[in-house]
Amino acid sequence: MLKTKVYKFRVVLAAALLTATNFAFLGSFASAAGLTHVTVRFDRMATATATTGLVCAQPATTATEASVVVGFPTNTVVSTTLTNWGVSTAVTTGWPSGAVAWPGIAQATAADNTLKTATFPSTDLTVGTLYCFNWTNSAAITTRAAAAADLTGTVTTQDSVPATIESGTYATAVVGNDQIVVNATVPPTFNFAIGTCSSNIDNFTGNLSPSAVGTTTGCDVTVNTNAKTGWFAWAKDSNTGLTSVSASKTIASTTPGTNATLSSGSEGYVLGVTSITQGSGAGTTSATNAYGNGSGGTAAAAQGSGLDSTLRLIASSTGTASGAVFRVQERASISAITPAGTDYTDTITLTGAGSF
Amino acid sequence: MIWKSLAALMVVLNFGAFSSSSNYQLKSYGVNSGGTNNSSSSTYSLQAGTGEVSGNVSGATTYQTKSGSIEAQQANVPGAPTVDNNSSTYFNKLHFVINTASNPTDTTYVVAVSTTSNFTVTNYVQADGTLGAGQVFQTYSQWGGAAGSLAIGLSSSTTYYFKVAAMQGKFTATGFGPSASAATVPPPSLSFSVSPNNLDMGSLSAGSVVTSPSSISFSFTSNSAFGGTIYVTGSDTGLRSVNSSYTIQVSPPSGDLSSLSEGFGLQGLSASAPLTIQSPYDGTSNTVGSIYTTFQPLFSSTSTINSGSASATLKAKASATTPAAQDYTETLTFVAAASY
Repeated sequence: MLKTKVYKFRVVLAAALLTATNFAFLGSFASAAGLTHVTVRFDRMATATATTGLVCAQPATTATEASVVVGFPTNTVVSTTLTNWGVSTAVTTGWPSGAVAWPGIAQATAADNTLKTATFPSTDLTVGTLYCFNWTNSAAITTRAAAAADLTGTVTTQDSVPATIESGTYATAVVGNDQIVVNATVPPTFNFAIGTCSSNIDNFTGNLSPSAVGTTTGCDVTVNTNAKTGWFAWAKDSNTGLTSVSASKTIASTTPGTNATLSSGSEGYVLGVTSITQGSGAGTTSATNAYGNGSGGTAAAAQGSGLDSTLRLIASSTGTASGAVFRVQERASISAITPAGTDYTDTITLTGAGSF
Repeated sequence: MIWKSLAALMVVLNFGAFSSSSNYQLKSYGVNSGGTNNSSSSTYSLQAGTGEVSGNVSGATTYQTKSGSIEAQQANVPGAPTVDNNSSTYFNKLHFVINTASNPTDTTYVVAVSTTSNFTVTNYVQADGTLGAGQVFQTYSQWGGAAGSLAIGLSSSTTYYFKVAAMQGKFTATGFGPSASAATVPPPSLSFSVSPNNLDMGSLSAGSVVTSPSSISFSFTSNSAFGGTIYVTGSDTGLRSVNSSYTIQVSPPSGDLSSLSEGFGLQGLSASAPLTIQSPYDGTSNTVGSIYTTFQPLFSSTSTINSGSASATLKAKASATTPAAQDYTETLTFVAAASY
């Protein structure tokens, strides 16, 4: 009788120990509390769309976390390729106020499209602190094919067993379209105005003389355009030189398109771009080599190139311009035998265009 | 210790056979209806005192007891457990803490759960927190101690009643104590929409502020106790023209298009409470918030959002030097998330 009772007691004791062991495992689940806060933001909410996202949670239970399991709504496509589950805490823009980087977070160690879960490593969390991390590869998740509201998922922290420490449930929605496409047109503009020379008449500042190269006062040309790659200005003249009807004489243009510097005592007639400024805008203005100084700069005194009846490129810009201004001046030199005349004249046509 | 317990057990188990020995004396005992007054198996022990077991019950809101000598050997009847829904956040589970009624630590408890106060249909909390038909006895510690446990897998928006019985050693369990109840809340919900999905700003004449032809409408509803946020992000930082390699934008965080030569941005127009327009989109007149390629809060709330609505508008301005192009475009993405 005594042996029988002892045997019974040992059986009961062993059973009790076994049961206690089981409960030690299961008990951690049974005693799980709830995360204070849980937020999961899908960076795209449109149907059947690959998306990155944000996970935030605030623990309420003191324990040593080793992992976090994020559960996604039904019909979400969860990539099982772990390299698609890279994470980052570098960009905190858009995180909830007070959130800090989730410690120990790293690429998922498990992803299950059947359970709709991804498991990430974690280190110990502090109760009352809101932690966040982003999953950064849109290949990780594709939203469900059909729009729906009130789709729920979970965030669960686990210890090293792994046994649940605590969890929280979130809701999200999948919508037909989560984007707005905004379109606009900026219409082309171009303005080209000759000014500063009254009535567009640009007289020489004095009588032409064999002893000096004469020059006009000059006319300024203002260019405004939103042409993205700039503008061009051309010039041609009516006489290929200064012509006097009364003297039946033309002081000929130098070779059109070739930079030249006039010398006193020798006949010649040129147009030079003597200054050029960009104003505002994105472009860089310049005189052409022929009508500038021959090397990208503006023409010096007596410098320029002859004109003829063909439009010759005299200046340009590489971008938009507001208030770009260039000045054109004509220079002439005569010899001692250049016939006298008071009606030497030439008509220069200036034109411009934008490069849109 | 084991042998002492065993000896004590032997005394109890054999009291009906002897009235005294050199080691003990029973002052009062009886077999009552005769026959064996104890029986046992590997899983239980029973001490019978036929005629002594009474169905009489006395109790109050916090305790319950029965008369009879068998009851005297049972654990104390547990008091009503504490049951809660974690400040109205649990929709599919409830938290409970057992009232031990000062039972010793080796006492085990079973937790009965029902959706009716009279426990017409009763289930029991299993070791994993789910409900099942079988009774599961665990110690107070295994039920989470003072921190309590969760009964999981519950239905939302439902009141659940909890009551607890105790058992110590191999004796018969007590009756169930008084019950306590708590209700699960509705499940987490979130709905969101944004419209329209296309906006043509038209032609941007230099120097003129152009407002989108229609405002952007949002609907956002969530039962989250801690509110939620509508975020915005852009594919670029403004209206981008690939052809002209140019972006019409406002330098962060915001700018007044009335004074700026050009720009493009978003401005919140309205938000139904508790939603509020977030900076930098809370400007007025022609002050707009910049477009970022990372998510920025546009509308936010810190409390439950019931049938929330909001609206926003887009404003753009070109300057004389804004490159001409017909392909200026921006894709704005709006998403919503809530804190549960």
